[in-house]
Amino acid sequence: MSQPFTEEFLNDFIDGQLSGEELLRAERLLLENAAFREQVETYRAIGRQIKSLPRKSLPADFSQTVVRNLELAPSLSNRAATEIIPSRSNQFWRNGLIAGALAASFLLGVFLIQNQPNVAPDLATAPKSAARHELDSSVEKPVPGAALELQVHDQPNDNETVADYKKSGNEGEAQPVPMLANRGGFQGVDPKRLADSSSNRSADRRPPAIEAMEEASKKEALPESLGVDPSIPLSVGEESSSAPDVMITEAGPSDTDHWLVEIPESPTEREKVLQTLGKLGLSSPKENQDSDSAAGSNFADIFEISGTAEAVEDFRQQLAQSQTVKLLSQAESLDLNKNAEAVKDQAPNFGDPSIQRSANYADGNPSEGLDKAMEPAAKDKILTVGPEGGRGITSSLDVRFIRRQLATDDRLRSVEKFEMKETPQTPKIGVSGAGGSADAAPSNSSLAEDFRARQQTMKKRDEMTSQEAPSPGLGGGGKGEPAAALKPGKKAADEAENQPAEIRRVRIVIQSKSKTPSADPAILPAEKK
Amino acid sequence: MNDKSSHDSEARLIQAALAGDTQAFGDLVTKYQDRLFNSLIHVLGNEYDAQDITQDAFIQAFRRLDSFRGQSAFYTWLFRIARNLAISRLRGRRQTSSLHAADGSLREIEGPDDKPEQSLESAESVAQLQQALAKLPEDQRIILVLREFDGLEYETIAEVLEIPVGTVRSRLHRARGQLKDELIALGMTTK
Repeated sequence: MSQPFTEEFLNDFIDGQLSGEELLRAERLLLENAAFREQVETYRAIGRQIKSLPRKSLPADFSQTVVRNLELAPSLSNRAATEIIPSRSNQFWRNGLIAGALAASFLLGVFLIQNQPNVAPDLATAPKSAARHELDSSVEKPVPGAALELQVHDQPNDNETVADYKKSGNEGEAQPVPMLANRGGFQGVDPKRLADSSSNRSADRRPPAIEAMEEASKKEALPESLGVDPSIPLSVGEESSSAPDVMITEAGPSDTDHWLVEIPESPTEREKVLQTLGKLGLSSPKENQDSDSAAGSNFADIFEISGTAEAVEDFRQQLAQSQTVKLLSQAESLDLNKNAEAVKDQAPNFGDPSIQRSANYADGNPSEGLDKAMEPAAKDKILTVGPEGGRGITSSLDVRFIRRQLATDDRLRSVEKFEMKETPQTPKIGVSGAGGSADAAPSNSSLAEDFRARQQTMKKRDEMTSQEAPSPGLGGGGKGEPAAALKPGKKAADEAENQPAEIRRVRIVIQSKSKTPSADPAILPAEKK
Repeated sequence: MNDKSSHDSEARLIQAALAGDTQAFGDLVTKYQDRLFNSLIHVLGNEYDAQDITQDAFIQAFRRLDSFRGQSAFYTWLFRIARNLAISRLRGRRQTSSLHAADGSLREIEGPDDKPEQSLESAESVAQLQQALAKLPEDQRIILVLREFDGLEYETIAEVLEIPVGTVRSRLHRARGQLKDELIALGMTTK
């Protein structure tokens, strides 16, 4: 006899949810009903299959890594009360609040626009995205000469750091966004002006309502205004259900050419984004793929980690102690601070004498002047971990380890991609340490070539040092020996002057989603993943 | 008895962590890290994301520990955090890449030990099951992992997912049915 049964009944039986009469009925069905029996068998088999899926173990030091991260960022715990993990129950209220805030922002924005006589005519004729940028200019002082810049708005909520592009200058002074026309990138950007504007921004905050309004319109406005492929959304802010493919934001008030670019993990999407970045002159999609390509990933091969001296030192120690990062023997330290002696004393050391050499980067590197022009705040330190000179050292595991560390220490930010750009049409940039040229105009020259030139320079320097360094042992001889290590660095620098001299370094920061570091400890960073 | 002492020990660790003892929290991490990690592997479809979310979940948990009232088990609460993070990751990933095996991410998961008595005899069948799981909507995938992989009861699942038990039941039914269809479509026997 075949009795009918429902799927719910079947599942309840499988899950042991039946009792009494229902259970007896199910057992009867099991004996008498072939379809029921077959279904039960099928679902039980599926359950067994899922249960028998492989189980893995995390690295032995995982818990210690978590603890270290907690200890390294004690301020994080202070923010606990303000953090909200979205849940079903608070979504309604949250959405309502957001809608209310946006409405209020819009009204306030309209009010402010009406009180900006210089802006109104532009708004009348300009497209929507342009209007937004004009609004930016009206609220914040324009930066003449800066073709394109990023700006960061402080947010009370660490999930909501806002970054934004802005065309600077007024009608008469504005340049035709040469970055877009010229793949050389950063043409016409005056680092000093940008730095000044950055400091102005710190002091001259815009009304939160304006920021909120900008944030709301950012996604559509940004690609449009910059000529970015609209199919690749450029966006900012926290990860959400409409998480951005690319996030560009400013690394910090003093890092005028530090760009944070979020790159998707998918190779296909990544390629699309890199191409778009290439169009913007921000990045070269091809030549800087890393040694990890065998694993199918495209991690950049250099991490430059910057932050406060204390934070960088902490991080350096973590790397040195890590059981995960085992391949950092070629790691180099790069400190762009002006005080070279201090740099030498504090040079990170992973057991490679080249570390000491690189500590002298500020003394001997041909891009010193450029570095000075772009250098981070004096209190910042920079640690470079990566295959300088083309030596592949980082595995994907290393890269992920570093990323995780960075993701949980708000005092740090990373630059994972370095590129050198020739600027043959302009005077040398700071080769002698005289400071960066204010009007560097990168050309369309091959970024790959630039990068290779830089690698060659580094290689020569390394070779010279390995010949001359008295003791390549661990620690490089301690604090007393860096002076000796200075020599090859200087020689290499002399040689490097014969290399393509007009180079400027552009720092492309590639980082994981919703990570928005800040150099200013007063600025709450974005929630990180 | 064991459960009670384990619960007491856990409560002590939580208290210590609330007092700022990060090492005590580290013990909690050690206790649950692999369990959470393994569940997340099958929710997210790859170990890399699972590891990241596991770490993020613990960090979030530490930050929000003062909001843990002890009304549910610590792991239940922890998994709720992890689940929210995982969903964010999945939704963010949707625009940028596929969870599915097309990009090879699922192949990162190795096969089980080759024990004849196990239902899954090869890495290939594991990969197929992973593919089928990956094709499910995230809510169905999560509920299957919680029920079948993690072995949680309906009530606990309801707590984790913040849904009624009835919804757990119906969602689980749908998930099983769909998974069966996916496995059949992949040519995998379900017995």
